Amino acid sequence: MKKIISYLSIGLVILLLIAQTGCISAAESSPAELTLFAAASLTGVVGDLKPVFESAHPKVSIIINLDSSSTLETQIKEGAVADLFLPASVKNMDNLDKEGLIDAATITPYATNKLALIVPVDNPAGITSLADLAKPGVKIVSETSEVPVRKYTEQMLNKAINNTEYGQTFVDAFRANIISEETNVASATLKVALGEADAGITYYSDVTKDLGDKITIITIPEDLNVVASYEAGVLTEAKQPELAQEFIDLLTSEEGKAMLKDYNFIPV
Amino acid sequence: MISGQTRIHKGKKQCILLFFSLIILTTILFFTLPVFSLLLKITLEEFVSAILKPDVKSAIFLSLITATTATVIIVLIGTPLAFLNARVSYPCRNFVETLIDLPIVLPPSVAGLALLVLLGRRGLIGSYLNDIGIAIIFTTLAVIIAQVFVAGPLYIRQAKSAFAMVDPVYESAARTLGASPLKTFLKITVPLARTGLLSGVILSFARAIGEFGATIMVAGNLPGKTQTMPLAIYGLMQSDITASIALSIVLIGISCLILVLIRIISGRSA
Repeated sequence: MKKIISYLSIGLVILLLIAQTGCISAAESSPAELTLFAAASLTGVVGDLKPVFESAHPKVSIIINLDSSSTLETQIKEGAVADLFLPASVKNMDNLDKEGLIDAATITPYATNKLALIVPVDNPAGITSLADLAKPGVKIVSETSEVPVRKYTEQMLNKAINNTEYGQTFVDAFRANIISEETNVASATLKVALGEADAGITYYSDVTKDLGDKITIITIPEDLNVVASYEAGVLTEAKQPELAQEFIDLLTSEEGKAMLKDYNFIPV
Repeated sequence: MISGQTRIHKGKKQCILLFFSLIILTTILFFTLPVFSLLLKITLEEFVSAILKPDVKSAIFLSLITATTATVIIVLIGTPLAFLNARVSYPCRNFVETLIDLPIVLPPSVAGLALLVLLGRRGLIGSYLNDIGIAIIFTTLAVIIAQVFVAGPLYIRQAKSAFAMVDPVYESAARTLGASPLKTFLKITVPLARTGLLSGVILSFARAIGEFGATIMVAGNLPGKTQTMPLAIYGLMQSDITASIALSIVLIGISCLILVLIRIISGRSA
């Protein structure tokens, strides 16, 4: 019995050693990894740019972490390893910049986005304009206060308070109609696409191609709308700062701009 | 020669001993360190002030209410099925048991999606309910339904084996002495099976209060209405990490309490 155990443990040590050296050699010869922390609203764009970038850099594979910008910000602050930060709000970029986590020289604005009022195609609540969101019983999905699109929604509501056509009563009725505060914009959009909610406020870019036939966009009046600015920044602790910079270059190239337009972004 | 050999043998033994104790130590640290790091991350004052925030308080309150309601529902609907499965051998019993067990192993997101497709406004049942003016998705009811769905099978499983351990001889004795079937069940079967039943209740309460994935999919996230503790932890992580940690500590406390309760109950039966 003892003999068996000793053989087993020696075997285990040998295995561990092999595994370790295997890992090291694998790390040396394996292709570089470029890690992107991107806002959920960039899902489509980043997904399309990944193969383009990878085919131009055969030895590089891109790892994408998509979530709400504020979640990504927390993850980076708590020590998550990333190369490039692509939030949906300048605020998240500034916060990381203040903590010295972003290489300020690399921050590049590359696109803007606008708010859109979305309803399911069959429009169960019969919404035709922003003002209809104040009708009693309309189910609006919004997001938690930290999600950028919610911040822009709040900015829009602030503009509405001072607008004679809408005013405080509209804003109060709007808030009373919120049935859920989703933790990111993609799941709010999905709830509208599924028809579980009557309306939502998202970015134009959230109405992706596959959702296009499930969602109708209703324009928000220009004087109430809020323009979101999208910036890219390389992290100070990036393992692949050059590759990250090259990804920014791709975003701002003609090819990148065309892809941004595909997803209803407005390239800078 | 012989003594030298034993010395080598002894050295080898010590090496192995050292090796195994290292593995064991690493294992213990791996499972305990994450929880301890949460406890060390905030001070007592921070914890108290975070717990008193309205959204945090309402999340704790909502979690306790919904998990308790879900557990009561689970016991009411699960006990008859558990008793049937323990006493009667009917065709496809194994099949039924396996189907009922499914939510235990199902990823919560799958459970959430399944409930959404069933109860949603365009769902299999939800579309009819919607026609008569009943909405389930995004309500507190949806929170409870999600909890019952994922936690119920734990109780049913446990209750079935608890009932199976009760010797039917006692039940027939009570029946021959003139007790009604219901009275026999309540006065004989349940008291004899109480240990297993109680740990089933506690386990399903624990699962219900920790429910996250299915809840966020079918009930959404609205403070005071559908935002339970796990949802608030996830939501607050973005804005107020201290409050998020404070809530996690509350849940750790509840989990510890549950484990201690189970230890006491099973200790009493043994």
